[in-house]
Amino acid sequence: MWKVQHPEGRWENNELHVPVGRAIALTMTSEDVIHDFFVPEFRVHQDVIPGEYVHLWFTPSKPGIYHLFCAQFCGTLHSQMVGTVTVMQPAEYEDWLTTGSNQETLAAAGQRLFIQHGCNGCHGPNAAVRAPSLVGIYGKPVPIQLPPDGTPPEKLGDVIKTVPATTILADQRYIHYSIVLPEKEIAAGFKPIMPTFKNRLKEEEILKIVAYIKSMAHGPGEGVSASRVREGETRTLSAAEYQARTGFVPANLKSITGGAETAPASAGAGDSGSNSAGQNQARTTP
Amino acid sequence: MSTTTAETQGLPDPMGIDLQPEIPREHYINTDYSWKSWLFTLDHKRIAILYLVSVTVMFFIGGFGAMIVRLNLLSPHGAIVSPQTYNRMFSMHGVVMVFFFLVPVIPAVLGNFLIPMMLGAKDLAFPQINLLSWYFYIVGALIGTTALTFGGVDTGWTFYAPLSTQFAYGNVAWTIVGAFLAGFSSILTGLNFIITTHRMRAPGLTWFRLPLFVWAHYAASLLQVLATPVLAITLLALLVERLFGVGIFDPKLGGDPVLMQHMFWFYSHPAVYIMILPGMGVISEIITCFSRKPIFGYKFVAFSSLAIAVISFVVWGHHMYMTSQSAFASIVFSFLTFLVAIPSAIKVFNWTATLYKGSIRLETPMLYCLGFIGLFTIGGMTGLHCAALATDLHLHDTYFIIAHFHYIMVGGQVLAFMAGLHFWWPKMTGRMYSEGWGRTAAVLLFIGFNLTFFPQFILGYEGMPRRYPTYAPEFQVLNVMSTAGASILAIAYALPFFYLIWSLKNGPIAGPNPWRATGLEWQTQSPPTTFNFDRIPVVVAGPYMYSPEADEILDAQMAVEVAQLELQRTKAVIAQHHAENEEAGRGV
Repeated sequence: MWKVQHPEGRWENNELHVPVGRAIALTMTSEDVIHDFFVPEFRVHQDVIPGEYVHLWFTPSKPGIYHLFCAQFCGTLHSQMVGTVTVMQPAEYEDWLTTGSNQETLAAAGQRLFIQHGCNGCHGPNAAVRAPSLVGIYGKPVPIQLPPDGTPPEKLGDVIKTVPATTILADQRYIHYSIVLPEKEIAAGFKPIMPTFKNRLKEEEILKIVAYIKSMAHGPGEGVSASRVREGETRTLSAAEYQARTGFVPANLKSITGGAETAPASAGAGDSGSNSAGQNQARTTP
Repeated sequence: MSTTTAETQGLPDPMGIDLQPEIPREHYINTDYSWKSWLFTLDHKRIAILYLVSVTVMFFIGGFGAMIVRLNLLSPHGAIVSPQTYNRMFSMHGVVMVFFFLVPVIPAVLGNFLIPMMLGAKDLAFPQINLLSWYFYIVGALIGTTALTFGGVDTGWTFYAPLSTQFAYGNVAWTIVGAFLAGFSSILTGLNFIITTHRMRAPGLTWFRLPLFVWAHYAASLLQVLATPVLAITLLALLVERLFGVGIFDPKLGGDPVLMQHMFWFYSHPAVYIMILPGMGVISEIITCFSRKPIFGYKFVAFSSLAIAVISFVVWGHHMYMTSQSAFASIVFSFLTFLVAIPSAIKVFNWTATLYKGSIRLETPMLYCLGFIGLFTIGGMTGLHCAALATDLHLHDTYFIIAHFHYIMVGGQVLAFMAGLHFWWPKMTGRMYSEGWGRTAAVLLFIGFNLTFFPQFILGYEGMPRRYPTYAPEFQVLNVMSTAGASILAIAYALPFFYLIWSLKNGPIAGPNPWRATGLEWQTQSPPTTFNFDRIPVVVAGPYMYSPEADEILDAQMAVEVAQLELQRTKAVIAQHHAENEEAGRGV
């Protein structure tokens, strides 16, 4: 079954409504096996892979109703994992968005989940536990530490102090990984104390939280007050700040951040400006 | 004398003496008929026959799966079976046909039988390993087909994780064990061929005097030896994840499903060349014989086999354009895939050039051969659409792909096998089959094949995805056409089964060289003795010395042979008369 969520909040099953003439970006993932999003009329085709966010965009040019197929064999009812893509006039689409099962935008739903699952207890502005703030990180490089594979959880705290830091783009994939596999990529200079939410959040809920974090992309950079950073820029913590927070500093932090106070804004947010339909889908179990 | 052999066999008989060639008194089949002598044989020819029987059984099991699939697609809602059964049937068709039929069919049957003879050797380098490879094969095939028929598997032949490891019901594990064992059979056969080609060539048989059949098998053997272990380790990893929950490919366990595809296709793309290269070798042999001309550009054909083998190792990513593989990697893989087209095209052009101004004889093997060239060309040209990123974006995982690889695998490989089987059947059995039935089956196969698979190109282009037991109603007309073609195809497959078996007892006796072909295998009796040659032959010239002059010499030789035979039998008759006379005289 294809489950679709639009950023404005409307959701649908085995159907996708899109406005004509506008670029549509899809972010897709799977809850079980590999599927494939295939709309023959549009000449678009993309595997949907569990544990990954895959992206696809297209610009529908003609209103109508088109086949949507799953093209990667996914189990007994593979041939019934089909649906339709409805291309509408923009005005109709706006009307359509406001009708039906439409309560809150993805980002608002994400914020609700963020509070509900206690994420704000550590990542919120007045958190008692020391965890990186998520304001303004989306789409920008963030410093992380990669512990060696197979490090047992109880040793992670010690091991991480000796691991050099590196940077990674804080995109959807990074946030998804941080939620379900928090021990893989650890925000540099923070203790590896985040629990996994692997079986507590569904893929569609994770997408909402990602949307929420994305909605904060233009806030001030991590851990510093808004007055010190210009919009569109981020800044990593200074060595002194790391020391004060966690008691250790990754040795090579300066070399990867260039020692500068500000890091350049990334051009990673490829789908900004276009209508983005967050899409999440699941397979009907045989 | 310029008559063909078929006519010389029925030579007018002025003295009431039967001038038919006779089945030699001793040959590899009649040395011993006990079942032990077959199951423990070390004779490469007998092992080839064991393989021939086994792959034929596998072909009909795999064909049964295809038949259910085609019948079910008569209706958009699924005509005869449930989606579950349908999925099991196409999986059975794929697994059996790829692992238990297409990979071994030419190397293990024709290669096993002919390579030692073409090299002027008594046997392969390691006869016991050769027998072991058959045991690996037959045990793997039995486990695999049992698992596939009782319980079934619905993963397709590709076993994509995490479907195959965490979600699919059925006997996935046993099927994987079967494919794993069959893989070892393939490795051992390849190893044997490589070493035999290096070490056991007859005196004077230099590399560039080797028949192209041997070159093609040599290239395919390299692939078998180098790529199949990767399949083995992939299947083992799947097994470990499925049985013990070790996270290798399933993201829920911390694995990577795309890694599985990389490993799988690293074998399975070279595997299609393991299948088609020996087929190309067969075509090179037959096309020259039935054009009565040497092959055009011997070295180009020989080296193009090696080029295909080398390039095929670096193109696997073209199966994965739709995954999260980086666009840059896809561009590189696309470019490399186009490169494979060059050696393949060299072969097709050279075969065509061989036909040019040849004196072409349209006998059964040649009909299959010409079918091969046409269908392989269509399969190859449509392969370019699948190699190009932009077009594959639309065609991937649709019926276009199905049609493309059936044009290569059936239109190519199966036709090549049929050509080879008909060409060397007289050598293997000592008997000729019915030429009329042979030609009928070849033409039927060509018609049925095109009717089955050409509509699938259009279906795929219109967007019908593969592996669908039910489909949108607008696809029905083409699906019905395809099923109609498949029924003709089924008849064309069944026919040779009957007339070839019939020929075993009733076929005209072939004699050592019914096609007047060059090549060492034709210079010994049919069927050959256990050790192939009375004495090790010495090679003084290259292969394919076909020409009108050579034909005249061959005809003259044949006339001499016939005359000698006549003389011998006349003497025998005279001697008998004398004996009778003497007896009569004594009686008086």
